[in-house]
Amino acid sequence: MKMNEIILNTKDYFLNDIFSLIVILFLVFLPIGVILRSYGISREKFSISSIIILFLSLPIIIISTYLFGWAISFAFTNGPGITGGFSQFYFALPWSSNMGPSLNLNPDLSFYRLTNIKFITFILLSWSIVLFLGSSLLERIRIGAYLILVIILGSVFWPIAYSWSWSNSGWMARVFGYHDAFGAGAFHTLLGGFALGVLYQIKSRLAKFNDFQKPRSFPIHSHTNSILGNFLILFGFIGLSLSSILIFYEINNETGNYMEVLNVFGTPISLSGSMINLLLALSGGIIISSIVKFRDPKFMFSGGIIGIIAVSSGADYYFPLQSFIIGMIITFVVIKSHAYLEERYKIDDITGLVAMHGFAGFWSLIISGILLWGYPSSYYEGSVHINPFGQFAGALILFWILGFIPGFLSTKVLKFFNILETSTTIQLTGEDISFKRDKFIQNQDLIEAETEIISELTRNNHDKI
Amino acid sequence: MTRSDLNNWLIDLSEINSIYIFSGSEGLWFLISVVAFVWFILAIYRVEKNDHTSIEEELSNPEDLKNLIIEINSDEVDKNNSN
Repeated sequence: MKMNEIILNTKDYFLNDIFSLIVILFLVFLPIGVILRSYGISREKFSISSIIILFLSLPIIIISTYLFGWAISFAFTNGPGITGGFSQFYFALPWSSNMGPSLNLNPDLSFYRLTNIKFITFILLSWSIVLFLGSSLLERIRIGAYLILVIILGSVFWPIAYSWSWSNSGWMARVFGYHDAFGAGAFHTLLGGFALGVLYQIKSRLAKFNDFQKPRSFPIHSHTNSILGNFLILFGFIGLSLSSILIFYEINNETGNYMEVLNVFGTPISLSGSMINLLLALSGGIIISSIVKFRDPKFMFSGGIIGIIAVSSGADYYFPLQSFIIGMIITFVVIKSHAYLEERYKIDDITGLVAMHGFAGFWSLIISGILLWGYPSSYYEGSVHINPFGQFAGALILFWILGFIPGFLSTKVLKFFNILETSTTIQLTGEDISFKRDKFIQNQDLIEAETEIISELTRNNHDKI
Repeated sequence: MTRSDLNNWLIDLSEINSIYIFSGSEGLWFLISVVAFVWFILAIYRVEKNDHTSIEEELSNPEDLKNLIIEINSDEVDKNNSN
């Protein structure tokens, strides 16, 4: 029997590049949204330093992705683990000529033309994932410690998760029948697992828990920024979803040639249908969060984010009203889980990252495994069909093996060397104290200088200015 | 004189690939970049530590620290009220 063949014709490269630029445009909202939200929900005395810490992750993630993260994302598509060789990752190595300005007009090299613009998309995804992580660790983590975690998550384990589970040749789809259309596993579940590993080790903010070990709510700095940040993250999620779609591709098999939109696993999907699913899930999420967390600006609108993650795994094959209901149910469960995590395990998760991303992504995978049971998972002949066991195994690997364990161990090492957290004094005064002190000194200096000028003028003009 | 093998654009463009300077020395640039990258991580630790140490020294007296915290928190309350 003739196998399915997926082709991107050379004449469609330009259209593909245009689509990638649109994806990038939407994707930019994701990091902006996270930074804005973090600025909003941090306390006044940490607000400026929060932005600085998060922004410093940008150069780090760009350089580390260039040096090894990008190559890792291609190297581990075979598997399980490292079995099957490192695939064709040589063109993504930092010393490869393809990583610099190259013409690539040779038809044999035409595939490589696509990779440069995909690199930018990958950078934005990597930056977003580490910004989400950072937003939960603020107000106590040291800059250097955060940047080390940025490298570990953003340029090692995220690329591995991406290549294992979220690429058309990733082994988890072929071996497990794993399915994740819009990054519920590789992005959100991994992020939640890693964050839990870090938060389990790092101390909570001072005075977070009262004498009865109940969590205190800290005053947030700017409600406007917090809400606006949440909205921008929703826009960014459209970019995240679009980034996992292959467009203008052609499927050739024995029945004919078809121009189709494909998911990352190369199976045909409906772009508009998938987007409607995501919108309905967003609505379901906001409806629930606005009731459960009424007048809580920190979480009231985050239901939309949870709703989208809740259906991200199977939104390509759900019916929109199913997405709506799934979005509602998972949002309710996730919000309750966040409160449970905080009270039971004393996890000080500022943005509710573990529950909002980790648990929502995990449940998204499990539910899609049950609902899509029997669907073909990949265009490869002989691939295992989607099934709940494969989804469960995939979710466990992403949350615990690629997420929690590396996060836990790396934070433990940083803690061992005493380079993880800021001192008690700094946590009490807030890191913005440096800016306030400098501003005070500059103002004093200016006042003295101006007073001197006035005195001089007065002397010269005989008591008249 | 040129910094690559490229001396002329009147050639079969499909035969050339990289068009950047010093082609062939990528490995060296890689090593230099790794060193700069590691240096930055260590340097940012040092810079942050110096900043924090100077604050801690200025506020070594617990009474000063207490007064400052009260002042900062009252400032925050004032700003939140005005918002």
